Amino acid sequence: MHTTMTMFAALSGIDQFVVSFQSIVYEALPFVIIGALISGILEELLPQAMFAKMIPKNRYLAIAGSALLGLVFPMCECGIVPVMRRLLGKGLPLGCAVAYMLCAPVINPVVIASTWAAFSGDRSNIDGVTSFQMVALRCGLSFITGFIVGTIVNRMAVKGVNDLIKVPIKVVALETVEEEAAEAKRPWTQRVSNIAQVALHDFIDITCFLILGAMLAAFLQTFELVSRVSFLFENPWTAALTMMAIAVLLCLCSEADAFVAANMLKVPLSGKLGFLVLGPMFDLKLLLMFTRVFKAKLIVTIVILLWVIIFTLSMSTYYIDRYLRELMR
Amino acid sequence: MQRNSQFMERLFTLIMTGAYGVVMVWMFISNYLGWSSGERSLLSLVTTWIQYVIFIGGIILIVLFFFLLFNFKSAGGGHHHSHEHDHDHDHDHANCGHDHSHEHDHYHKGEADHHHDHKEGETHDCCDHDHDHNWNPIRYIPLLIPLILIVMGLPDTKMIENFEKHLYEKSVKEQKRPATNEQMAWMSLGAFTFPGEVFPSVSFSTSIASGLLGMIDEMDGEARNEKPIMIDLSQIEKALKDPALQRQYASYGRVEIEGMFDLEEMGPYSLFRIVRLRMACCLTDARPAMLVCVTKKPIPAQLQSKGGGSTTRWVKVQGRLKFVEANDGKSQAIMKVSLIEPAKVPPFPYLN
Repeated sequence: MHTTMTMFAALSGIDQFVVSFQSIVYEALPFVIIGALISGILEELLPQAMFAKMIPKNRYLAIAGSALLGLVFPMCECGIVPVMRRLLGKGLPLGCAVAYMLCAPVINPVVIASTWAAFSGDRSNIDGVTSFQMVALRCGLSFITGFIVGTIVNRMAVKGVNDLIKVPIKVVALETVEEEAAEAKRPWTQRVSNIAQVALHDFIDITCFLILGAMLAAFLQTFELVSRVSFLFENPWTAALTMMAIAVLLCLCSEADAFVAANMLKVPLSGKLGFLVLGPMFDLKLLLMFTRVFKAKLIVTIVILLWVIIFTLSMSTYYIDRYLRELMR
Repeated sequence: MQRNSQFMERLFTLIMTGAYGVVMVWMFISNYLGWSSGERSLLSLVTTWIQYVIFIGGIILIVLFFFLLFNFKSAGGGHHHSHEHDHDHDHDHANCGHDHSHEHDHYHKGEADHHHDHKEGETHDCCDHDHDHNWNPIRYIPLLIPLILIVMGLPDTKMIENFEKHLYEKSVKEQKRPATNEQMAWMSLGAFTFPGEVFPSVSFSTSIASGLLGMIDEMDGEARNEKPIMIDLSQIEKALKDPALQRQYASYGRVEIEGMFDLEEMGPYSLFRIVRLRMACCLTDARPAMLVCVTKKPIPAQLQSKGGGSTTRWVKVQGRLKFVEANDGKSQAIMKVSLIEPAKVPPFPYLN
């Protein structure tokens, strides 16, 4: 009898694992494919000389602009890695590429709408924050984080980009323009077949790591991480740290995480913000995807910066919010 | 040797692309033609709009597959052996030998670094695959796992049901707090305020049930004999914030709600919940929506046990809705049920 019970428990764990794993993989996969296709099209059709001219000369302006690029060129976090890699190869400065990669999965029309929807209706005003304020806080904090990390990475890149990334960067020279003119004359079949090759290379490359990440996330979900640590949510400091760790481990899609956060009623504002801002920027599956583009040194820098900046921002927002409330009382 | 491993690389890319394309399109088509073997199709793991994205993704893969297939011979022909440092490079020029020399010049600047990559790449193997050109089959093993699971028909209906059940039972357990004696006494007298935390998953006792039912009887009487109006649980969640909607729903003589049956207490007055999962993107982020129901009618025999997944416990109930104010000032919905009928699980059983 006892053995049957334990066997049943083990089996239900397998159910949990298989369902989580398959749903994460097949949910993210089409977005990776679209990202890979865009990456292939960019590689083949975006003329490098023109692209170089489009980047603002002012470094800070360029980084801020890249952080907001998601508004016109939205990408979700799964699709963004191949696109970012391609833009990097096309000569987008590393700081700008990092800012775009970090911010676009949050600051884009789809995620703004889903965050608004998640915190409206019966879930709004739980922390005294309306859904509009929640969207503003999420996007604002993401922008600040992306901008700071982008600027710091940009500084690092001055010393030598090749210590940081695995992507060869093309040097824009005069001949490039001629070469592009020559490229433009190629027949369309050849261009499409080049797009196909680049896209499929990226697809295989990124999917492999997506699957490993999904496996880890499904494994942790099976262990019911969130309900095991719920006692940590009572204090705003531990809540922020715990929720950030959960965001990394759960690997939720940036369109869905707002719904999950909105339903965690006991978590204070600092925890929700930490979860909502860090989740789309960094999680296990993204970590594995990063290894395809960045070298260890850069990954470590980005991860540490993200944790420090987002933790500081969430905590200060929490205390400012509390202070303002006391003032108004 | 090198040519051979590149050939393998291309071949496997081609196979994987084709396989994923076919699987994704098949998932979509079989769902809409009702070909899936179990009660629940695999596509129901993700929400409706992403189902279409899966279809589009599958089509993209199949189209790319054919482009790669038609160019397979020329691409594998091996006239790009001089570019072994850089993968982007050989993709660009796999089919176009004519601008080789151009491109190569631009890369010379970074040449030293490529060599550096090369050495490092070999120490941590699969991550730097592009740089060493030995074909690395290990990389394709993770890619096979979701495909193998799909071919095995996993997750099947039973697995998905267990997952759902686990999800909402956990959420009931997390929210459940026994009502205090005082609260119970008040409610058994038919008091109009309820402790906020007892909804939607209080551990009810029969005395509370009779209290609730008495109160509802007093206010509304039985469901009227008219054509039922369909409402789903997400509409009720929305109404909790909107007094105008509450009045509208409460004015209906008979409403019908579908969902999974979850029995709490059986007796002269029975208490149960109707549960549905709400999903934003995929089943991993699903969260339950529940409605507390009271009834004097007997519970159908097949629903009396607590076991079983949604397929055996899917019901439609008809009755009258009531909105009451809990003592934390929030509205709560409750339904007095006059008809419980087993129903068929819809192909996509989740709410948005």
